[in-house]
Amino acid sequence: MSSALSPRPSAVFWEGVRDGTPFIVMVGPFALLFGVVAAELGLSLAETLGFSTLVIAGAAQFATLELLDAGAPVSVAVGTGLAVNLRMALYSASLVPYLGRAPLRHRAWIAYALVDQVYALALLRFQGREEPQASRLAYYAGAAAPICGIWILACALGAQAQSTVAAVPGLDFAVPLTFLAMVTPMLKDWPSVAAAVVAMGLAILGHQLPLNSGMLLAVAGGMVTGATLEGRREAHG
Amino acid sequence: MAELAPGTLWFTIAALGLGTYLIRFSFLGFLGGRTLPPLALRLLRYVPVAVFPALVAPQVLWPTATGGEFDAPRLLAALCTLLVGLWRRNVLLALGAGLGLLLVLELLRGL
Repeated sequence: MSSALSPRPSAVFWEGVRDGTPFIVMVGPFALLFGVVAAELGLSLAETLGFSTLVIAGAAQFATLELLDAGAPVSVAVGTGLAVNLRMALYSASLVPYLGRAPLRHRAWIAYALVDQVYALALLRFQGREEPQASRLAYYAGAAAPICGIWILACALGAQAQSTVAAVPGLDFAVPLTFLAMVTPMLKDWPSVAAAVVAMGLAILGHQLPLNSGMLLAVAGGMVTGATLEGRREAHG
Repeated sequence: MAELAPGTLWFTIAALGLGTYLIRFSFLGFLGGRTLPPLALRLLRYVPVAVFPALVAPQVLWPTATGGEFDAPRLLAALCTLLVGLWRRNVLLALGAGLGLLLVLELLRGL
């Protein structure tokens, strides 16, 4: 595609914003909940904001806080949080083919905003679409703005509002449902379906393993399954 | 919250924040424009389809909200999201269907 025919980066940025904005509905309640829990555990607003701006990773923030609350050593609390986030090294690697050539200053903020929902939106956009790097950067920035913004804002709101945050029944389950919904368009071929099924099965079998290692093994199993089946299919023409 | 020494909480936040950033930066930052070997590229293509189901599956069977007790409405909501997503290939429609079903089932349970 010649760059003369590509849409302007500002237009692509707004496409990203449009795709990212609905996720406010799913990320917002989760972030509110973190703020509420943090305030109930006695964290100041500054400490809660410290978590949500420096870490921006819901599951790891919850895990770390819970362990500290239970009296675990700081090393265990931080180690568990990092283990929960280790999957993001794979996100980082799988963005290399699309954004690896961007200048370092761009890669620095891309890494900062690399949360689950932004990653999934970026891959849904980039896979199988040829577009200039400026477009990819603009789309990523647009998708990340509402998602990261609401995460930080709603953590603060939750910390302020505390127990007055109304509990809408079922909203606790919005994040798992979001992940499921986002993965369905990616299940386009048998290797992908097999990878998903194997990862699910291994995650269930290994869910009690320490330091989130069951999930990491499950992801590895799914990746090997998908890559192997793809290789075999290619070998058979 | 268990008693913490002064500064412990901020140390925890900083360590977790720095470590998480380095994890996110890792390949994208240090590998940069270098081309990955074909086998690595093939494996990496399956990251999203492996990660998200692996994150979700234990949550569906042992949800945090019920203290890890199996909960039929949450399993049904997950199946609904999956089926609508596979059928219509529309992320928001799939999510809306699953969340809507769960809301209805939760309200019915309250009756």
